[in-house]
Amino acid sequence: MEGLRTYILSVVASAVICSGLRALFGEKGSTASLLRTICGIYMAFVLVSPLRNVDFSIYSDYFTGFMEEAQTAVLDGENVALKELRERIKEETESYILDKAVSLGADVSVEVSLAGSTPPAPNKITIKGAVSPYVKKVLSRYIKEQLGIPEEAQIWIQSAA
Amino acid sequence: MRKLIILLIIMLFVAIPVSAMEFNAPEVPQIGEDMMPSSYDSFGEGLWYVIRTALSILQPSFKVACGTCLSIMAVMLLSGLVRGISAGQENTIRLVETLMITCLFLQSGETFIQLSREVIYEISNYGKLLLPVMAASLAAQGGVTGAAGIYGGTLLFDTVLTSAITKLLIPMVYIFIALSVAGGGFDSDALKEGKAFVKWLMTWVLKIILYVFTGYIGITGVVSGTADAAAVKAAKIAISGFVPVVGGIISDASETILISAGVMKNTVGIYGLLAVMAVSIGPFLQIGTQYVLLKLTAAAGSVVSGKGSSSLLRDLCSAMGFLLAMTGAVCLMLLISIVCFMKGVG
Repeated sequence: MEGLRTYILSVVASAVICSGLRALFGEKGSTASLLRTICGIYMAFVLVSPLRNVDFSIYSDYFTGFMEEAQTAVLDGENVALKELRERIKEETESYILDKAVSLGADVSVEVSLAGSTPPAPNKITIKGAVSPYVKKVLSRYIKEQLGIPEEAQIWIQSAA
Repeated sequence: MRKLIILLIIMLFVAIPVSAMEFNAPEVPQIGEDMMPSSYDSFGEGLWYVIRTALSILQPSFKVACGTCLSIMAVMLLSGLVRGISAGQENTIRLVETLMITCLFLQSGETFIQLSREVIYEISNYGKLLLPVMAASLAAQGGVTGAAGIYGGTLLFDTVLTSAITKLLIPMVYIFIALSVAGGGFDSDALKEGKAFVKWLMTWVLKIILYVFTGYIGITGVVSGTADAAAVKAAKIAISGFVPVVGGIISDASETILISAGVMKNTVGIYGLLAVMAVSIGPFLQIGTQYVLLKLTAAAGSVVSGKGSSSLLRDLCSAMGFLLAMTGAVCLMLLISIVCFMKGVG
């Protein structure tokens, strides 16, 4: 507001000065003609003078700041979705294995670990419980064939029956 | 004692169940609270509720606007009467008529300017709270490129438009009114040229910002939408590379995430649309009512009044029109952004 006020005052003051000078020297003659030209150039300079102080690099930084803010919001959304996806995949995979274990009569708890890739796939399983060697063999082969998790990535923790 | 408090705080966090993915719209600003519907399931019903509520509370403003316009009409009639019986006093009558009309207008005119400034400020601030939520939910739905483009662009253009309005255009409205009042009192080509220039500047600043914004959003929507759709397809192809059971689990989970993110995004979007309408519709109708009634007064008063006062009324009407245009521009920008976010991927 202050800047606008200063600008308007400078334009008005310049107009008054130019009008005064032109009234002093009249409208006819080479001097008056020269003065008209000088006043015109001077008024044009005063009108566009605020543009001299504009620093366009500030606006470039401004835009960069906005895009960084946008990227932060987008990253937050991606992270929320990825976290939810990992939780769902983990839960579904654990349920899948537990269903098979229950059908074999085994009472176990399952914990699945996911790889850091996108999309996250299960890459390690920890199974705790009291299982017979037969059930362990069947379940292990099932996990390898159906979920693609090799035996080396399956951790069996036997607990007392 | 401190350890006990820390333990209690930790237990409190552990006791809270882990929540599923959630995106919540920010609360509507206080200025629009009364107009928000209680249910946001249907956009149409919500919009209808907002409009009905706004119209129901318009009556006091309508009465005030009618009072102002009738007073102005009375001044014009009185001036016409005095003009008829007092020959050679045209300049004095014109000056007094102009000053009286200006005083009557400014009683509500200043209120409308401040109201417009407040609405623009509230909508801009609300946008800054809503847009990150919309961007995050669109990103969760797979629209990463589109979300960044729309959010960044809207933030930039909104800042430019709001700054232009508060620092340049609203002061220009005051200058325009001042030049109009001066022109109503005195015939001067310089005043007319000044008025025309101010009017042209205000119109073109708004137009250019809105045109460039609309072009940017249109192009961003097409380009980023295509990129995001291709990325989603690529992700689906990647999933097909897994063993069938794992692929099925990942595919189902991904689909659920996309759908729930989409549902939440649309819910937030509908709330956001209704909130913007609720904040802006009341003031918009108030200023619009004054605008229409001033137009009617200018048309009716031109029969009895002098050239100066008719021209002044038309200019004051234009000033109201500029306030409507500025408020409408800020609302429209945010509404377009919300709709672009809701459109989603592809």
